[in-house]
Amino acid sequence: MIIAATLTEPTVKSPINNHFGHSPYFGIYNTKSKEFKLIENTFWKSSKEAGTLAADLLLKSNIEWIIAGRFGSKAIEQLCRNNIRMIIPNEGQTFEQLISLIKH
Amino acid sequence: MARNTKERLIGKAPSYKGMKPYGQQKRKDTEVLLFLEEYEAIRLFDYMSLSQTEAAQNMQVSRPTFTRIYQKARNKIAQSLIEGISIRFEGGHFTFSIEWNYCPDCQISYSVLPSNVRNCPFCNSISVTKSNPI
Repeated sequence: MIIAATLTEPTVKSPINNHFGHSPYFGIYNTKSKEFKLIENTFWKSSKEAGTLAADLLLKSNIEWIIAGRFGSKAIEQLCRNNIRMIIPNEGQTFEQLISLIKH
Repeated sequence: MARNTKERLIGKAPSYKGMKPYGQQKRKDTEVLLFLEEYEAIRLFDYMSLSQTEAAQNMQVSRPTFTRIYQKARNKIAQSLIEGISIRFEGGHFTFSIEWNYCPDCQISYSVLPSNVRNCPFCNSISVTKSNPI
């Protein structure tokens, strides 16, 4: 399974960014190969449609889950249409901690 | 005792709180409360041009119930237009079309996919509660 997360810093130890569309980096983790990949969000500063553009970017990587602190309404609509599971962790949790919670 | 009103599914809530009439000499204190399910009925039927049957399926109510919700919405909007009363979007019996659950062990909220089981995706625990993180 491929999991994406919004990151504040370009490392797996980064806390989850609070806003999906305006997050500077996305981390992509493959639970099978245990591979971690970093994507730069080129749309993070755009004032309009940042969420939908970011969702398009991530859908190209065939993600199944997305972790973020908050999602905008347009991003939710788009992610729902594509059957992506959205996950909102408690504040301060890092991507690494969340990956370690997966027990299967 | 009368049966409780079933919750109607809402795809999108309005991004603003209401509407005010323009150019009135005296402001009226009254306002019309347009329920969010009524707003959704207008959005599906008039704005997205769905049929009443399709719109009813979207909101998970029967076609006659949809017609009733829609008619109430029309009446309220008409009252606001004719009498110059402001509209406020508030209240009603509704739930958002995405269901969110919370797992206390992992401390995460997650969206429940239509085809999916409700267990926590991280630890597979079944002791999860409904939540509304957004």
